[in-house]
Amino acid sequence: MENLRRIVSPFIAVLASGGLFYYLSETIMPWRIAFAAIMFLATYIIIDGFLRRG
Amino acid sequence: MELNKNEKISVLLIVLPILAIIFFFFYYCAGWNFFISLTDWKGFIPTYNLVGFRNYSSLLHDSIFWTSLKNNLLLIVIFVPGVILIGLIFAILIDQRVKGEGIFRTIYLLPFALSFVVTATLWTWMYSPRVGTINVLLEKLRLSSLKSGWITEPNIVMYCIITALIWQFAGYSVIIFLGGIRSIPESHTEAAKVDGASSFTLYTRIIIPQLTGSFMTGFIIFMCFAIKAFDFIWVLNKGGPGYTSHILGIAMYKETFVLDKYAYGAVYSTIIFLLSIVIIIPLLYLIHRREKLK
Amino acid sequence: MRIVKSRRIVLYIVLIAFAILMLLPLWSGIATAFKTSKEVILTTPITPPLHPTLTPLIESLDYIKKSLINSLVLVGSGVMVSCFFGSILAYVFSKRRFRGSITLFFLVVFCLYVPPQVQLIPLVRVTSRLGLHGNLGALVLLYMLFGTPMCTFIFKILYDEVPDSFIGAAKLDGAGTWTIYRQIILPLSVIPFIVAALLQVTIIWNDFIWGLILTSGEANLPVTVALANLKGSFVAKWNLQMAGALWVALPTLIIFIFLGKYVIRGYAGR
Repeated sequence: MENLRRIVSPFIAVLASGGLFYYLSETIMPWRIAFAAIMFLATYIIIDGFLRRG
Repeated sequence: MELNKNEKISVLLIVLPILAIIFFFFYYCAGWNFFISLTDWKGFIPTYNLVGFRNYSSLLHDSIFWTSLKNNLLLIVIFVPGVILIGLIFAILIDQRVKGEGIFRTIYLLPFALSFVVTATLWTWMYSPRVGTINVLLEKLRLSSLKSGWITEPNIVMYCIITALIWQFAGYSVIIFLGGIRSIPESHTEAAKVDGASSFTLYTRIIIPQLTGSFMTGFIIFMCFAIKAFDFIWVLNKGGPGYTSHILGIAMYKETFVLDKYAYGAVYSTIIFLLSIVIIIPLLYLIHRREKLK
Repeated sequence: MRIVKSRRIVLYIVLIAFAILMLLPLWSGIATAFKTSKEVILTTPITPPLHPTLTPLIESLDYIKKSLINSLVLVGSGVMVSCFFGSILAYVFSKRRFRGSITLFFLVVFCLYVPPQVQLIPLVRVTSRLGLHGNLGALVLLYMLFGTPMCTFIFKILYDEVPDSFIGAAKLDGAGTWTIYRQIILPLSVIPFIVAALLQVTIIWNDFIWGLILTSGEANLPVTVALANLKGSFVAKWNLQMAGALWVALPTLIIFIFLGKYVIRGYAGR
């Protein structure tokens, strides 16, 4: 469980933020990076926290 | 739990940036909107001059403003009590140990799941004069005399809109009141039943008086909506025919983004903001005081 | 006994009649979405399609498919980030109180009642200054922030029920604010997260006015604005309009039908 968490949460976070970064192709670069970064942080921390349950 | 100094710093470091951005987007913008309403800003030209309250005084001579205000008041006077009443009635009916309660609740709530754009599309079809659902049904039921132009008739367009909005919000209202009824401790109602109270007196004397909280919640939510409404009417008929179904939100959008009179539009939004403050702050205060008493 | 029984029957008749009334516009829309233009004129709006066709659904999907993905991206980013911000704020307001935190909490909750019209004009200017006006980025930014007050409110209700002693024990072990949040608070937040997230999904998916004002160009529209445009450009093609409405309605309808339990908690808890 512990190892699973270490892999799963960054994996999902990279997927989510990468997807957002890729999709916002018309947005200027600084904002693309900022959105992707905050998306990574939010997804990573929330999923990591949920997987600590039990 | 008291925080020590280090904890305080770390808490503030985490919270303050988030709060700063949110307050910027809500309160600073509201303030800046008021400031713009005192200028002659046109939107595309970056410069502007302060003109004081000139925009406000021309608003008072604007017939569109009075029509819109009247229609907003119509929403407040008919839509809000209507949706609360229907919610209360059907919450009580569902509370009679009905079989399939969950199904009824879900069905009633379904319209509320939809975007106003979707419901406006559906109701354009319902009200369409020639092929629309309502007129065709009336014809089939041999009630052709009741057929009407619905949203193309200036006299009844607002009532058509209010009916559709009540349809959309009724289920939400049912949920609010059902929650309220269910949270009344059973000992209260049991005592009255033992005393032989009929179900009518049970509701008027015991249950409804205890629903103050639900009434207030419903009142705030529907009132808020009645003041800031925009989407549904805009998609339905753009405030037409003519200006007959304009409300403040629509007039604001038109002045600002159709006619590019940004400063004048800002006057409308300031009025919308003031209206909601005047109505909501006392209610929030009442709710807060009630919760303290508990 | 007989009177009671007939009263029950009347009760059910009233409830079912109201249910039919509530479903009528929806049913009329669904039925029309599966008809050919010819059948729309020949049959009544509530008769089920005799020769169901998928053409309107496919045609309207063609018109709004880019917007469907746009809205999906907006929902995904908006929900994750506003729930993240909301749970942090709720945690601090509930378990790490400091002087003035109650006032700040009230200021956050009051944001729920600020009408969007007040922000329209300022935000057009703010987003164009930030270089975001006209494309999807503006909406991504807004939905990340605008959901936060409501998420804060929903998370705080639950965090208030977590006993302080839970955290006191961790504090004695020397855990800091951030560690407590990640190790104790977040693992307890799955249910409020579902409630808040479903609420945000419906709100962002159904939102119209921000997309109308802050985006331009076919490729950047959220799905509600695309549907409004479809309604405007195919005025008499009712089957096409209804099919478009059906696509937009589908996700939230599914949420309300299958996860209604959580949605109701969110709406009743306000």
